[in-house]
Amino acid sequence: MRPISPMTRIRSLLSVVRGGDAKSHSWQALAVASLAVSCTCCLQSPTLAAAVDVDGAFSDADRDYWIWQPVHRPRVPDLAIENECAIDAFLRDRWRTTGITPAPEADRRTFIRRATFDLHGLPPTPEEVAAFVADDKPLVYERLVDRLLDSPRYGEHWARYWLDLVRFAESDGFKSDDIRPSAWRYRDYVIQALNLDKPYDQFIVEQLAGDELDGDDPAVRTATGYLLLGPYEENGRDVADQRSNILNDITDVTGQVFLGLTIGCARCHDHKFDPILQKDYFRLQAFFAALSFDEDAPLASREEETRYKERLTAWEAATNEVRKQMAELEAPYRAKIRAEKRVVFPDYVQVVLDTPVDRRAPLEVQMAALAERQLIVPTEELVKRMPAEDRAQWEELQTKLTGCGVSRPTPLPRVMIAKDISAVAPPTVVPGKNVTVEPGFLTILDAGPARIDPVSKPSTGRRLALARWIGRPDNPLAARVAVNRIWQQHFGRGIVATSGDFGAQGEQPSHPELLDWLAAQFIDGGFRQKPLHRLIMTSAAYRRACAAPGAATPEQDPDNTYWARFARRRLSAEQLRDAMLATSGELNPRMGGESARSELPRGISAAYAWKADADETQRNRRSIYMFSRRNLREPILDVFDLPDPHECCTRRIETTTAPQALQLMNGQWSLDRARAFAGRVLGACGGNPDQAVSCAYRMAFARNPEAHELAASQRFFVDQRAIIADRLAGGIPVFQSVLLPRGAPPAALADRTGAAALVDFCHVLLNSSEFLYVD
Amino acid sequence: MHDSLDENARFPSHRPPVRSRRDFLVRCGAGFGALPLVALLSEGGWAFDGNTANPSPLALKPAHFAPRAKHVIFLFMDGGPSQLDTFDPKPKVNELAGQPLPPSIKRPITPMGVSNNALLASRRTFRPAGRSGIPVSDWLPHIATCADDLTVIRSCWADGLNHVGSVCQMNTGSVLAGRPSLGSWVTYGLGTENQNLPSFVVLTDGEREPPGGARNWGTGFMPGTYQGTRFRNGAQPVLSLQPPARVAPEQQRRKLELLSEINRQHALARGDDPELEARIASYELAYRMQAEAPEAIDLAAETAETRRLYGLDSAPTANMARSCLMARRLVERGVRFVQIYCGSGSRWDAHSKIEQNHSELCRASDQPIAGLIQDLKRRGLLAETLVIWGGEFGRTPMSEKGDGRDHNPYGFSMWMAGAGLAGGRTIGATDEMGLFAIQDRIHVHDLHATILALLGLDHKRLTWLHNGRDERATINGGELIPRIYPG
Repeated sequence: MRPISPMTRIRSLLSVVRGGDAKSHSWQALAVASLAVSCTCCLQSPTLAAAVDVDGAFSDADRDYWIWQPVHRPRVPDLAIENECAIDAFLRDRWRTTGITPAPEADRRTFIRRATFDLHGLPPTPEEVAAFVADDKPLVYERLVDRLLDSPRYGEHWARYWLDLVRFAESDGFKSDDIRPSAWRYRDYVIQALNLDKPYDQFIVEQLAGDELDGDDPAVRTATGYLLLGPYEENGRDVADQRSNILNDITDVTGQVFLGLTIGCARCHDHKFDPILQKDYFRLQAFFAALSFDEDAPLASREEETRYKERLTAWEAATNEVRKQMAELEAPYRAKIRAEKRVVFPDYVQVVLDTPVDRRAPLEVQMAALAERQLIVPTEELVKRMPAEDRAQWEELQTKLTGCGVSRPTPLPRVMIAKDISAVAPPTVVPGKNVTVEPGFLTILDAGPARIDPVSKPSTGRRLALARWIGRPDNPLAARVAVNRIWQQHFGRGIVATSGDFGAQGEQPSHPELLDWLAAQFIDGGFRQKPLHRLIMTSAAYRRACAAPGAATPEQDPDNTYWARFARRRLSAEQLRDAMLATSGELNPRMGGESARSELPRGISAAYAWKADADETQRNRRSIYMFSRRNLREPILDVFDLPDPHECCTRRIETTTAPQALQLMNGQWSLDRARAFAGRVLGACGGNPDQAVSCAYRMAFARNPEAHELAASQRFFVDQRAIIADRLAGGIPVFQSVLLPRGAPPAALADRTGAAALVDFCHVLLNSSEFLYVD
Repeated sequence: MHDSLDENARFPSHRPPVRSRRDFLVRCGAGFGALPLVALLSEGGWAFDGNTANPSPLALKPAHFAPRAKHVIFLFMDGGPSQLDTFDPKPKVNELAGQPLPPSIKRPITPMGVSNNALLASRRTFRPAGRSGIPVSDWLPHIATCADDLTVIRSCWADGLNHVGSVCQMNTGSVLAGRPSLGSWVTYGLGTENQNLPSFVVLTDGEREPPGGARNWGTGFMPGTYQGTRFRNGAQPVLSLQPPARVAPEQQRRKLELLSEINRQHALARGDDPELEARIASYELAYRMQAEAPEAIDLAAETAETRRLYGLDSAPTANMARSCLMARRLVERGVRFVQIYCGSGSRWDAHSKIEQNHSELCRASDQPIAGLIQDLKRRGLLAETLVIWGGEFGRTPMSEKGDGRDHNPYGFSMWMAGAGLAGGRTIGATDEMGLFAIQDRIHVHDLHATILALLGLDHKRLTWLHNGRDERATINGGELIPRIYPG
């Protein structure tokens, strides 16, 4: 009998109907029919020439569009002053033509606060501010920036931008929102890569194809977690649909993160605005076609793994008989539960699962792997189903197993990594067109099929080819997109304001030559980010005051397009939380490791709530180390615009809302920080109100209060003491307890009224605009 | 007892006490620079987005065309109620009960793999209700009395198989998370009539949330300003709405005064930065919300007759009655979009024992929902309020476990009332098994497009630019249901 090809078998199986559609689908059509196609282009008429016919004959306008041109190093406009930074020369050139006067330099206190928040996400300490203000040695700005860049706090802050892009979260999303216990390792990988200033091209390769590289560096394997960060539905029975969702997600995100393009628009038709063909979408997706996962990869060197295996073998030998008996006892229950779980899958999945493993085609291997994830039978479930007699026997065997004399080796640390299903990928077919495509890059840049070099692992080598292409020095997109984002984080807006869309629908670069000059610097400097930060932060542009009389006023240049002044910014969610902890003296600086769990306010629904760490110092770790769950976001971070981790976020939205005020003014977490802050003030300066006020100002704002501020504070203390004293004297028990400072020397609490007033004062400072905004 | 004391008398201070919210605002507003104080004090006046050059994100915005309704109350039957046992009687299923689907009907994918299972008879009786005579199940006797207000859509269909994706789609248009919810789109499109309350409020009939949790009323890629706010029962309906009891009101006010003073000085030294003014205003709005939100949901002022109408004092109906009555109070106060999760936490999900499951949930919700419609009607609010009933999907005619039904996104029922809709009608039809919608098929995107249209919004024009694409609530689908709009 002639064997039926796997593809034919699947096609014939998938005469499955979704909805009342009469026509039967091929599996590809099925997958596409069920997609939520996030594209509204169909409704709009093109604003720019993007006349792309089916064969990909692009118009001249398409080909001439700036993003497809190679990065060239433009001539720097004549420098006005000696040692002027090229950045400033580019900016000044534009002021000349627009008649804008730049703002003067910010003072040093403003600068160090700006730079420290910018690189570390934390405020400078009062001592650091004082030292910087008093520094009279040369290169004071350069030395400050270098010091900040050398600190590991840098990676902890800048990793957050990357995690926003790759929609990092530590749970699956969907209904169960199951925890991903090793996801934090990817977060630590990013922090470390930034602190090491790993070249960006290498950073790309490790994340897209670390598993295809030679060698077995655990960090590199962890990096492939990038490919597995998307949401996952634990009970998605239609695994063909699930597979295409996963592939679409990774294709879209990769296009956005590394290429700055909305290639998702080309999923169902040629892109309406950019010369990206539908075929290109699937040429890019083909690089991921063989993608699968290893949920339980050991994170150890070869030596450690060998040692572990030796010990495991010894344990297995010693327990062989017991384990065999257990397996026999478990087998019927396991089979029964598995059968119950399996029956819910549609017919085509049943056929895949019935196909002997060695006869499965690559696509079937992938689908089977997705189905098998839902067919795991946990031992607890199995034991629960046993009648008393069997369970007693099982427990007896379990006791024997643990008491056998040879201890089971501690399992190696595990991490979920990406891998290819085999060296052969399933075919990639353009849905609805029945055209099979091979991996390839964007046609407008490289029309041929991609060259895929074989790799030493049982893998297709496709992802490595894609990663190397993205990171090539002559790729016109990757470096521009990356430097634009860096500029955006420093200045609040990119040179291309739509940092996630460099296409024709996005905004045009305000300073195209500056962008190219920075990209050229980046490429020539070996794709290292730190020199770029240094370059930007030592420019005069970065040193400008937010606004000053005579300078470009908001009316003249409302969007600050010309960077003649510095844009004031509210602290991000993480910066704010971390700054509050730093100011209250509670910030736990411990780096890395498993995420910490904060205490959730009462009233948060139980379904996705987590249990807070018992150790309070854990709860006071930096925000980047706080557990991040898809279906429930940390309230204080959420209200300050933490992005939804289902979507790639290239630039955060900043809102100013009443719920923010409610949380900062009424929330228990915020009040507790105020109490600790007050305790810190008391410990450092004692209870004398004037001293306490000055001390609190220095801790919160790194400056002394002005005379009028002191006066206002004194009035506040008089009023507040009276209010609190009345309340305490009122004889109402519930009012007897007031919020007192935490962690203060007991003697400092003798004056309860004053101490409570100080908590209120500190709380006001933590709510103040001066605390919330960076000039 | 001390609650009745005058706070100011009890806590004398060295400064003139603040007598009222208005007093507080006048004081705080005294130095606002560019901020129009009069507007700030007026109802439905000023809201802020940090940029006075642009209209505020929550300010009232004109609709695209004349709206039929100003408010929406979406009664979400969480878990998927059975259309076969509520609004879509199928005698043929009872006739063929115990046999598999007839060969003429295709076998769909269902999450629990029931496509080859025997058909399960419905044990309900349907009687023609109202003057219109539309059939309503005996599980819903109170709603049956409102039959002439209902437009029952029997041909809904959706894309998801499982709860979380389907609830997500009914809220956001997509089975995949990350998009704004319908209430957020409406808030974005129309703004709010009452700046002191959230424009989009979510209520649940228990502590549990629907699957997926808060992201069902989230904004996805849009600013958080437009997101739904979950109101809980009690004095603290919104997270951190009130300071803890250990902070006296007077003490809190003095803190806010100092904050305002410090922030005004800070803003003054920095020229007219609208963002800094917006920050100051956000504290004032929070203060007003603190007073207004608990009042909005305080049911103490409702008459005994109203309480009875909703079934507030009867144990089985009390939870849903509270939500429905709160919804009416919120709508009265200008809240734009209220969503009530009934059976919150997928409780309508009757994979087994559907008789017991659905009879309890119908009992719990029937009278409160009917009470809501009648109450809205007699207060003249029904004409300007669109009431929607339905779940994320329906249920299969095939049996699961002998006495339950599996998920059915292929054909299910929803109804609308109010918004000037001619009631007493049914639209569309499922096949004779009640499995697939076959006539006038209405996808979730069509529902959303129609809901937006009733509110005066064109779903093709209501867009938000996200990562280079003009996104809309209906993604790239959505046709108006012609019999509902233009009607």
